[in-house]
Amino acid sequence: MKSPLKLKRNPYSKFPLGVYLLLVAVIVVFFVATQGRISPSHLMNIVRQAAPTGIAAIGQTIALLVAGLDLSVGATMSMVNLVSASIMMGNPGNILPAVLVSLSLCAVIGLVNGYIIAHFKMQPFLVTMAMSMIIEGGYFIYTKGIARGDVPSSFRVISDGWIGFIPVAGIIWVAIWAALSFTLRKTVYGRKLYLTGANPTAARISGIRSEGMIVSAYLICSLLAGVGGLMLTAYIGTASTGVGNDYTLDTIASSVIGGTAFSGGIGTLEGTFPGVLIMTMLQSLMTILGISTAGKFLTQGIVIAVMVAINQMRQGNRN
Amino acid sequence: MLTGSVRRQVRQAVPAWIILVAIILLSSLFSSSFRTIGNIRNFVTQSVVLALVAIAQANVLFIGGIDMSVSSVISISTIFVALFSYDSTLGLVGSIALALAVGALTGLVNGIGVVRFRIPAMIITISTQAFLKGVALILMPSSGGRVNIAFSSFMRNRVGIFTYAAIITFILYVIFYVMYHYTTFGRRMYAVGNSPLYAAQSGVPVERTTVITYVVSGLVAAFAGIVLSTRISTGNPLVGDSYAMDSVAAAVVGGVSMNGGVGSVVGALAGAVIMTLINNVINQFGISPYYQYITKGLVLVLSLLIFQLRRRRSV
Repeated sequence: MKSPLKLKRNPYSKFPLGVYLLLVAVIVVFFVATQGRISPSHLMNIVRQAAPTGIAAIGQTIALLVAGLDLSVGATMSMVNLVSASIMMGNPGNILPAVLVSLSLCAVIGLVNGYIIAHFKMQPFLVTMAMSMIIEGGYFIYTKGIARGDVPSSFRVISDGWIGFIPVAGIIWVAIWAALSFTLRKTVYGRKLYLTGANPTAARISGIRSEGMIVSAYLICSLLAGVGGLMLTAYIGTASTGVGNDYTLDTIASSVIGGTAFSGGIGTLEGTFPGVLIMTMLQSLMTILGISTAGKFLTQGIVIAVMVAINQMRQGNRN
Repeated sequence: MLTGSVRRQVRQAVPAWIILVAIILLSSLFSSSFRTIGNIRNFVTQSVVLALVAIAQANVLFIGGIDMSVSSVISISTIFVALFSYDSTLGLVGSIALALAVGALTGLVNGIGVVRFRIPAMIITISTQAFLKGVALILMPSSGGRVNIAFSSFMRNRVGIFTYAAIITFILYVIFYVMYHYTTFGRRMYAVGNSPLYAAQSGVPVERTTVITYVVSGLVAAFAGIVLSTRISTGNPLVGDSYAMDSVAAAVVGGVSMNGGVGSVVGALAGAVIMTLINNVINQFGISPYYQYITKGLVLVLSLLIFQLRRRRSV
């Protein structure tokens, strides 16, 4: 007999093998298309590029796990870019206040999103969409339409630096990923999160404070969007209006490719990780082939539809 | 005339119309430039495209779906009209037919994705949105082409303050109103939106109704793109982008529920006009245009709260 205290395997967080096979396939295609001229350092560069999306996508996956959705991720990242760059103004001494102010703003955004969604039982889609409009309006008023600010090189290290062969951005991404992946799989908090997403009423009846769980999920999501925004700021090294806006759809796409369902309670961070890499690799493949923007959207459309169709059919067969 | 379920659905639109009338009255009272005939004409012209997209969006919201692909359908329609219509009438007719066909095909793919592959509406329509945006960017990497002059000046003809485009939009609203509330198909849509399971058990062909609904949305979105092209006189691969979110906001402000089965196109019209009016009022009062985003967000939150409280009370 197993000890009752030991967590049973959660059938809804099964390891997503399919998306790793797709990742291998994409890497092979990448090698063939570039006629093998691709070096490991090129791949490490792709990891560096993918880090901001990767970190924000972890948050998006957690929001999706509680049957939610965060459409304000992109606006949050844009806001963090403008706010942090304008506080830093090229002065390394201002890095700490810039980070603290940015992340506090993100925490407020996450708490408001979560509270309204959990307490008033409103559609996450609409609440976070309205939040996204308000954030966008907020940063336009703050900058008066002109992006100002300068990023000191000591801050850019988090996206530009290399420790030997490995990019610092990759290390930060994997560290956050590993910590939250452990939290979701091996802690009581993680299990409660899955249960809340799968069935909030049943979770509440079983003594889980579902409202609190939902608020915490949106808080984590916004904070990670903030960290992603900081990484993005360090990556581009300047303030630019609306620079994060595409990330909303990119993070949702990466999560659902990795097997996270919209219905809540189903999905893993182990799937989101290769999901982000697939998206970024396809994008840089299209850039090499000379159809960067159009190709990105074409492949995104096909990959999302096909992967989700496969996931849905597999789940259908299991029932 | 308004009895039973029709009355119940149309009543969802009342708060939106009250807000709309209040904004118009207050703005006319306090701004002399707002109440000029020129501004009102302008404003009617500005509302047309969003009002059309709001039909397309409300249409799928009624059955409990959502259509994010309207934005790319709009963009690609402007591109077809701008690429092929300038020189000949044949080209004009052909480009309109092509735009409508692509709209219908997109709807078909969305519908089949939802029905056969059980992909959530949001995800399949994001996929088709991305794919079509890619196609649009290949056809026309940046704004360009020319729209048939006779066609665009026809759509800009006026009767009073209404352009022909606005009159056509209004006629479409009447047609859709009748379809939703007085035909079997409309009844079936509301039934599917309330509960696909109960609808199926009552003999409603759920799959067929769903697919047709998505096709209709694609067609209306394509038509919105055609109308938009006559206003901007060029094609543009990104011009439709904001309409996906804006149309959802317009429909929801108009009392259409995202859970399906609740609301009326009458409300979607008011919602679309309110969302356009916000920009116009902010301009007329000389407020920085940067405040329009926040105002739109707050209006959305406010109307959500109103509906949430009303629905909670009625339960």
